[in-house]
Amino acid sequence: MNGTTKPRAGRVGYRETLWMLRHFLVPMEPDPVFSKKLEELCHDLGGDEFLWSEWEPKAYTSGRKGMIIGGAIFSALPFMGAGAYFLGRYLVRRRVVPVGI
Amino acid sequence: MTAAGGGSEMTLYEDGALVAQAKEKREAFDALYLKYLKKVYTYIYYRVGNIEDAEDITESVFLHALIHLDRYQDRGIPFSAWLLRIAHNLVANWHRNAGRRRSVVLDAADSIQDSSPTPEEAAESRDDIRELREAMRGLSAERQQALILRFAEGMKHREIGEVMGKSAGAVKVLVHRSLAGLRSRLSEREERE
Repeated sequence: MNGTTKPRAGRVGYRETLWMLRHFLVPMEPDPVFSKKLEELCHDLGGDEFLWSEWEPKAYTSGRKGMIIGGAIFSALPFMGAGAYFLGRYLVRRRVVPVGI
Repeated sequence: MTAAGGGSEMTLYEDGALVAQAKEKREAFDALYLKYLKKVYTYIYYRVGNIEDAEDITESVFLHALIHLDRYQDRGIPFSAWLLRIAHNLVANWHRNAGRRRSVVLDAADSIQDSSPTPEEAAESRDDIRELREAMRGLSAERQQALILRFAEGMKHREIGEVMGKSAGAVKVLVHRSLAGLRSRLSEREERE
């Protein structure tokens, strides 16, 4: 295949598929008006430090992370306690106690 | 504003420097925008199939990137891959919402620069383009993504892997399967006609 002419066959083959992709799936050029508008928008937003600081999410500091993890552990404690209690009871009931001989 | 080397090859290091600069001073984001606009737009355009939505989503991608630039950390994933991941997620959201609307009309065929010498050949090309786009839409999102990145963006398997979170080998297999899937869809269409 020379790459410029489309291979023709009754059934679409691998080569023809590849040819179509190479020739018709080409990079697209955005509308210049749109790209200019977006460029200006990015520039304006980038320059607006106040807006920027308002929008920017608070950074996850290690202290904040620690608080979240600690909170999660403390919240889970009652459930863990209840779980341990019921597990203990279950195990005690299962314990085989020899009665008599 | 000065163009940041539109089509010229820039190294990852230069990208890293541009990102660091943009983190310090947001106006520096312009250079990244100029460099990656076409790439991001091309990907989105082929995924959604119409100019209006492609422009909307492209705008969202760059604004999202601008706002969350601090979250980007250069850990081996290039900035372009990060942008394309954002684009992919926004396109997925768009498809989820688009499911409730009627299916989109592909206006892509008319916007391709056609170099066919005769009007008949030009018309045939347009039909082929439409056929290809429709067959592609029948593929899974992952397969469409692989084909667009490989052929429209001309990316290497390794680079595609960075966007998709896969190894180069896995991408190679995916591209091959996508091609096979596309071929069988095109064949089915041809046989029906």
